[in-house]
Amino acid sequence: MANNTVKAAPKKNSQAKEVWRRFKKNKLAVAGLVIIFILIIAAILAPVIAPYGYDDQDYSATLIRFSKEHLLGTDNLGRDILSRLLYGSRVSLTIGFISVGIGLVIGGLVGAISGYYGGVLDDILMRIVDIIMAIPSIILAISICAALGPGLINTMIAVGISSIPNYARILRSSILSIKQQEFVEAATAIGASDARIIAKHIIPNSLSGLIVQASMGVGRAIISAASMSFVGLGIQPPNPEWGAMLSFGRTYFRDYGYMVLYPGLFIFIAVLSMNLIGDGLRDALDPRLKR
Amino acid sequence: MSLLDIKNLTIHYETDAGCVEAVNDVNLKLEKGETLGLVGETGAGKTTIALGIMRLVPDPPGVIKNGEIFFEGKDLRTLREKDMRKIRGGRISMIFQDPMTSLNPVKTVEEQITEVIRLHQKLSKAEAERKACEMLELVGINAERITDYPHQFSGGMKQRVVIAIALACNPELLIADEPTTALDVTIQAQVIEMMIKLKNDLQTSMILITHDLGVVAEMCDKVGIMYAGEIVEYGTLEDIFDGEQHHPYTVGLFGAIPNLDVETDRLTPIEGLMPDPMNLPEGCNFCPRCKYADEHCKTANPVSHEVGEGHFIKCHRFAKEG
Repeated sequence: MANNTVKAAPKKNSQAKEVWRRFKKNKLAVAGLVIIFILIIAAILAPVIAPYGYDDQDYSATLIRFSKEHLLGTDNLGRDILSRLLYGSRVSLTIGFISVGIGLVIGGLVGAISGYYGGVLDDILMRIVDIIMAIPSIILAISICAALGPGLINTMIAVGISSIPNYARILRSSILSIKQQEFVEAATAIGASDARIIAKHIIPNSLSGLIVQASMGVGRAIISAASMSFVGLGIQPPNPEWGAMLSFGRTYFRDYGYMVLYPGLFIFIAVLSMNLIGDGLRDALDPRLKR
Repeated sequence: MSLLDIKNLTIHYETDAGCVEAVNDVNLKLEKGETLGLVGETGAGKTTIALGIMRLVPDPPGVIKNGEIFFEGKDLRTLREKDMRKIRGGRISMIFQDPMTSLNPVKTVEEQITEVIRLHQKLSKAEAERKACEMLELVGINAERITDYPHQFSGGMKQRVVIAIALACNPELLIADEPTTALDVTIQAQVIEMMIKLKNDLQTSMILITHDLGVVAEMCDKVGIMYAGEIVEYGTLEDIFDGEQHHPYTVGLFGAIPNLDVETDRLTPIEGLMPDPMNLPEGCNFCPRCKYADEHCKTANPVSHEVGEGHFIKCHRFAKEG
């Protein structure tokens, strides 16, 4: 150490950059990210790029399978399906992200507290979660929606609340196993507070499960919202939402399959992309997998 | 005033199956700059004492039943949790047994060293990072590796990082709980050599918990021999290693070390096993294994007798002069 002056650490490679570098290596995840990115852009720019308005009806052109004017055809009211899908992505993506956000924040908080402190608090919180869990999530969402009334925000709240138990359970179980580990004791021994230990040491170690759950949750939330629209409680017509379009098209399913095919395809692609992103993110966030 | 003065410390683990008497009536004193070795079998209560000092005894089931722990004159047991946090890591640091698990796997070494620095010293991020680099160089790791993650280090290097974290705030007292047990022998020697050097450079007092009498001989000024939650013999390094009078357990421990000059087929262990800490004998804890035990030993628990200045032995055989 005597003749060895301390060199400036060759860092300047921030955490986020490092994660991105690892994320990039997973081609499928990048593909998922690109698709989601395109969908988001499409959602934002829907009024600009959509060839028609989402509720423009043209009775001279109903139930067209394909034409130059209507690339993905029209529905029974002569509305352009492509335009409706583009506008619909606004609603569907918003529901997907916001309701996962609601579930993640509340569920994560509940799980973190009950996992870390244990005891009576844990018992009380987990029993409440059990009660929510005992009700099938779709029925729970439907009843919340029925109580609050249909509409975009209520749908997000309903879907969000019904996903709380998942996040609470996952975070709690991973915290239970992580808080036993010696580095948590070591963190206490250097004088870190409880809140700091949870936020800086335990949660980063339990993120992987949560991120996978959340990314798949976005897909699941889109589907839940779709099924709410399907039973008529979610987004109200004429507002386009992928699930609503799906349910609307089922009457014409036999003869005009494309009416269900396209919204279904969009849901499928969005959900799949989110899952791919989730997988990639989990790997990228775990430095132990670094090559 | 001693740096650390433990009086009548008693720690029990109250489990459903019964009460584990992990530490019973322990008295310890540590002066500034001194190193105290705590030696004893697994389960003798060494780690529990260390956790007791840090106030990290898991509760439940751990309960500090009795006793005082004075650190620079303040009783640590009565401090508020907030003040205790300032002491942990800042004034008293602890090195844990297993370096493989005592570092957070998802944070870089830099984040982990700067964390303790910034918790206890008002330094900017850049200053803390520079200090972290210095600490890393101090324990013999190239500062370029500071952005690496723990899994990129070998076991010995991880323990060096742990030591760097422990010493980053110049604590008055360092508690090392079997710092070399998880390492292989050559690395043990390096780490011990480094710890001796750092301890002397930084003038840190230290409590070294170990099974290894060789390590004790190299590093310690004072030695406490622990058996079943009690300190059965306590004295200076010379008292324990070269003294004439010993507790029978100490004699047994030294007798179990193989002699390089004499060819033997078997080691000479102490007969029997340590008593179940849930069910300690009524009299002297060591009496079931002690070849000197008589009826008196079975009924009365001996007190510590001072056989020489600062040399205490907890055994009835030394009661005569007192």
